[in-house]
Amino acid sequence: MYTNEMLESIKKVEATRPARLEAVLAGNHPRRMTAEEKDQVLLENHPDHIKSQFAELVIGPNKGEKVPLELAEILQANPRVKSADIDLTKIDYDVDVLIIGGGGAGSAAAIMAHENGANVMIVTKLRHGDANTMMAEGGIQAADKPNDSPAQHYLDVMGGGHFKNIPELVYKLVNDAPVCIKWLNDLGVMFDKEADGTMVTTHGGGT
Amino acid sequence: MENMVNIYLYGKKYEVPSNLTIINAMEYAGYQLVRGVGCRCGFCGACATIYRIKGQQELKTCLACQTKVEDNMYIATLPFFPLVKQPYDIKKVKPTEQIMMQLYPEIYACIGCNACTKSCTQELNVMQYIAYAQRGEFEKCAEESFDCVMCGVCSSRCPAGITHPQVGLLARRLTGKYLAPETEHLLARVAEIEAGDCQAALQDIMKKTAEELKEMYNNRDFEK
Repeated sequence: MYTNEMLESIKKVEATRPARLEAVLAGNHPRRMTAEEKDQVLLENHPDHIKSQFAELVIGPNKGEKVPLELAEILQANPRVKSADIDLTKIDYDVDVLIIGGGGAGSAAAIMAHENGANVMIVTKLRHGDANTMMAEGGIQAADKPNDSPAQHYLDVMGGGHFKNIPELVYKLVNDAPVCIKWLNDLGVMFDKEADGTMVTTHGGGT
Repeated sequence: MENMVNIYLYGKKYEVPSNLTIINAMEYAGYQLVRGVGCRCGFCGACATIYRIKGQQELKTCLACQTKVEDNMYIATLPFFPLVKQPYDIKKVKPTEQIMMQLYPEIYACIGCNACTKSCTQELNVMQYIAYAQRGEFEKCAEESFDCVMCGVCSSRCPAGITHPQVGLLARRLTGKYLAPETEHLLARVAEIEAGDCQAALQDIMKKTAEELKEMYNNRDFEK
């Protein structure tokens, strides 16, 4: 399964694991990096921070903004569908709400629209649910515990977004998050819980 | 030159580098995959695949994004399999034995051949979770089926025509809604939000400048 290069790399990690484990068990957690140190690592290594990986959009509502090269290529590509081939006098599907994408967000939107009386259609490339939500199985964020609050969640989101987020949207996100978890729970989503119903808290990478 | 192996895609022979996954080998051979591949990380279940190594008796199953090619591999992909998804209203169904009988009666036609378990790409004990479903033990069925990626390979091998992934999914929904313990702290927080008790703190923090937020963020408390 692993290539030789990966196996060599794994050996290096394994060689130092006992020492690291011992240190943590003795209470010596690795020091947290400062904000500046983190920025430096990102600048040197992360494609999102390397300038040559970005192109400026020349058309569209986001004209002038810098985006990753691959995204620019997709956004500015010629359409696959030729407008001459479209005959609007023949309508195959006529719906109130068209949802593009059948993952968590698309499905939630479909349920809500349907419950409110709309005729809904989802279009999705693969099968319903073959989407990123399926891969994001490590956790979901909502300030639902007594030691947490929507305001604390707000701070976390703003920090995670390098303080560039639109405050009104973050407000909506953090204020609705617990309500949405309850909504999902009531739809039968199985969350990891303790025997008494307490949600299991896990910590994601870098948090 | 890399080591090359011969594989057969839908019966046609291709020479491909031996370190590729089946998905990558198909693309190397010139296929442009529009369906039958999704996340490429073994989670979405879109790339169910059946193969046989020439000269061997055993028919094998896998996810094509998680399996390396082997010499003389005969490959057929399963981008779609006609699984049955019975519609139900989660608010109206109840976690009783009858619900499986009503929605998926074919599970009681299981002949115990265990082909589902042997073919599972996630090494789940599929026949066991179907047995739990038959007996109305939905929590056990939910746990046992939890890692299912719904690739549908089990169903393709089942002589009784059972749609195992959907049976597991129904058991998980019943468990999540009716059998798992209620989360008191969640209900309490939702009640607080609906009563407007979280508003003052939120309005307060929304007024902070980016600099003030940065200061707060870099000095925030961490939960261990």
